[in-house]
Amino acid sequence: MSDEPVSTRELVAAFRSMERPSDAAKERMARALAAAVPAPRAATVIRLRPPRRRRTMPVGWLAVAAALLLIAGSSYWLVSTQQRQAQGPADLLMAPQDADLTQGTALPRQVEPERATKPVIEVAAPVMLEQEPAPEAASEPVEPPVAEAIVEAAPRKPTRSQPRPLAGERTAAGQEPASDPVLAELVLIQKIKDALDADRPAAALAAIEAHAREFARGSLAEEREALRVVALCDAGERTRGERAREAFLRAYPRSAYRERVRATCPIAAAPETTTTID
Amino acid sequence: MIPAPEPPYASDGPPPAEPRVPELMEIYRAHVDYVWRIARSLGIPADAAEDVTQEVFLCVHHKLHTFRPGGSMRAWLFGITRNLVLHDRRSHARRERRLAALSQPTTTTTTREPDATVRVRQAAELMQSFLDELDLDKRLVFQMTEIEEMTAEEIAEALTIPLGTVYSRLRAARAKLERFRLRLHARSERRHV
Repeated sequence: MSDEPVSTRELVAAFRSMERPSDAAKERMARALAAAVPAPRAATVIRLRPPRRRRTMPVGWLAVAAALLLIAGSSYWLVSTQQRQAQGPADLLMAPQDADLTQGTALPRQVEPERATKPVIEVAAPVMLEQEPAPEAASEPVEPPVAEAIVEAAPRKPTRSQPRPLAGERTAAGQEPASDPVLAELVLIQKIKDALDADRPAAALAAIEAHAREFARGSLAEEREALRVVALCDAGERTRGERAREAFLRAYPRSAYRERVRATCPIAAAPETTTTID
Repeated sequence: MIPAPEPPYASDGPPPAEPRVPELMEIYRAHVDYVWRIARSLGIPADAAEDVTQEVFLCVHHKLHTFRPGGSMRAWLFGITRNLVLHDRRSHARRERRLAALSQPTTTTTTREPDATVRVRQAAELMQSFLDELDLDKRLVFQMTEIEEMTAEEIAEALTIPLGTVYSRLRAARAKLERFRLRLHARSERRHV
């Protein structure tokens, strides 16, 4: 020790510099600390992390699957809706109306949404239409849309604002593809109508029988039976026509074609109102 | 600068408590000398101070979430160190070594830097001798004030004592240091006479 007196600052500085871990000791402690600190974590993580992954991974996959299902469901719904709108019987039935415009037949103007699956039938009866077109329009001012669609008077037909794109095709019923059951049913109904328009009730009756065989409980059965009454009456089979009419009125007491069918065969009773089935 | 090795689970993604690791190492680098000296002041011998210091920082790692932001880190570290020392089995051995160190102060030179000058080493030994003469309360206050340069508020927080007690203990320790220095000087004068 030197003889000079040692100041407090010098003592403190010397103590501070000497009383500390060596650099090697610091490095050893740092390494030991870094190695020891993750160890308990790793032990905990190894036990807890796999279950956590099992919990989180399925949630992610479930979310992706749910999203895909939602997209697929929406797409299917949209596509099916479009197909229904494009190939619905109402649309398909509306098409021939333009072609029949020149024939003076009464045609549907509008189809009730809930009955959209039931296509509107166009029953050709030009002779009867010529007899009394005005009372027909006046007799049904408050008929539901379906009724209007079925027995609308001819002068009201041009009020339809939307022409049907398939009008030209629907006039030739035999050319329609029959892949869809409803479409096939519709083709047959159109064939019946064409035969009646062509004054060929026998062909119409044959088509009616064909429809009855293939689509006994089809969605257009009501229209078929109404046309049957018309065809029988046109064919001169008044007895059968009357039976068919009574059967129709029993089967479809609330049918929109009720009054038309009742007036089709004026055999049993004189018609109060001479309407036509178009 | 001691590089922090990459944790082995780094490839599995960051764990929730990963930000604590650099914080721990930051605390370690900033306060390792302080913890070492506090452990030594509490009676831990030099050859055991490394283990105690390491235990302190392991404890810091586990209790870091209890650290109150805005509080004194050194006061918090002192509490951990003191509790570890007091509850360690080596506390008893520490007292025995302390008594032995008082009789043989030169034994501590074996763990010190080899390039330290003789004067610095002797000054450090003198300070160690002076600190060993103080009772623990005054020694801690003196060491925290003069060596660690802690504020009186930090010391009061660390020792959980009033500020006035800090100042009174500090005055007493400084008075003893002055007497210690005078005694050294007188001894040196007698040697030259």
